[in-house]
Amino acid sequence: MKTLTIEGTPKTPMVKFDGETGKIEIKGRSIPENSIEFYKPLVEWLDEYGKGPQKLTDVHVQLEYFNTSSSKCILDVFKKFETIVKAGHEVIINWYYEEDDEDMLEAGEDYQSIVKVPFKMIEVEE
Amino acid sequence: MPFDPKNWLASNTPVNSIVSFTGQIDSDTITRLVEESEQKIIDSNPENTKLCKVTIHVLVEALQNVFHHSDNDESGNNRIVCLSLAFENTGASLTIGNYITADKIQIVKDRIDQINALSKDELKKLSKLILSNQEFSEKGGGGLGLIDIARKTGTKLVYNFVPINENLYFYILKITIV
Repeated sequence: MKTLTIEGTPKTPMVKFDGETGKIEIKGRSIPENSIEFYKPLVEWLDEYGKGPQKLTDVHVQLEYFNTSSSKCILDVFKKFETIVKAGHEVIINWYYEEDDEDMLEAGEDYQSIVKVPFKMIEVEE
Repeated sequence: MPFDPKNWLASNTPVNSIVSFTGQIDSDTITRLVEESEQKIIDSNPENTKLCKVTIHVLVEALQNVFHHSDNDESGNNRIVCLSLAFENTGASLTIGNYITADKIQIVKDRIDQINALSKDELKKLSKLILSNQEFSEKGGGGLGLIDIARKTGTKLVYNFVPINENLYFYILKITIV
């Protein structure tokens, strides 16, 4: 399936969803006023990908900031991965946080406790 | 004399304020205010990255709260905001104001009082509960914005409502970040 690529902006993250390799990347800031509009194509792409996912879907989420309206949309994205896991495929969500950013680590842990998908917390230098 | 947000802000802006703004906001204005604030915060305190991050996060939530929920002023202008951000080595303070109709005041007061009464752990639990169970609208985060601000800052939210007329007030929120 066609790779979904969205360039990053000051308010929205870079997105690269590669259906051929199963590598999913979201990186940057997610602080748009209308998050639903931004995340709709991501969720739709994952609906399609979920019909025939790779053996391993390797998800990399590296967000510097995200607003509360994005938080629900990110959960919607993660729930799509949960569906893929339930169907018997392997998914890992790599959640990146900067070394002094406890809030971002905690946000990852919150998601980890809500969705049934393996998470790996990865500390990165600023 | 009618209430003027500019006059109010001029007399309530701390001397150490690095950003102040009064006027109508849209998506581009929010982007500009966030970028400008971020640069000034980094310039004034490049060492304390945690404080910088929390301050920017709170600023975004507070501005978008006004963007989604403010009411019109007496002349029918929407999304009028007054904002001041003061930043020091030890902490920051954000004052933000917008118009609100009288019928919503009690709801906002109750909401903030409820948030202020919760401990850090209780805020975390409430935040997760809303995130996992509540549908969000295009307007925003299902009431998560203020909870998130309280969670990130660890301080109590201070509010004030300045009467404009019997139906309209100016809602001022003061947020301390330490």
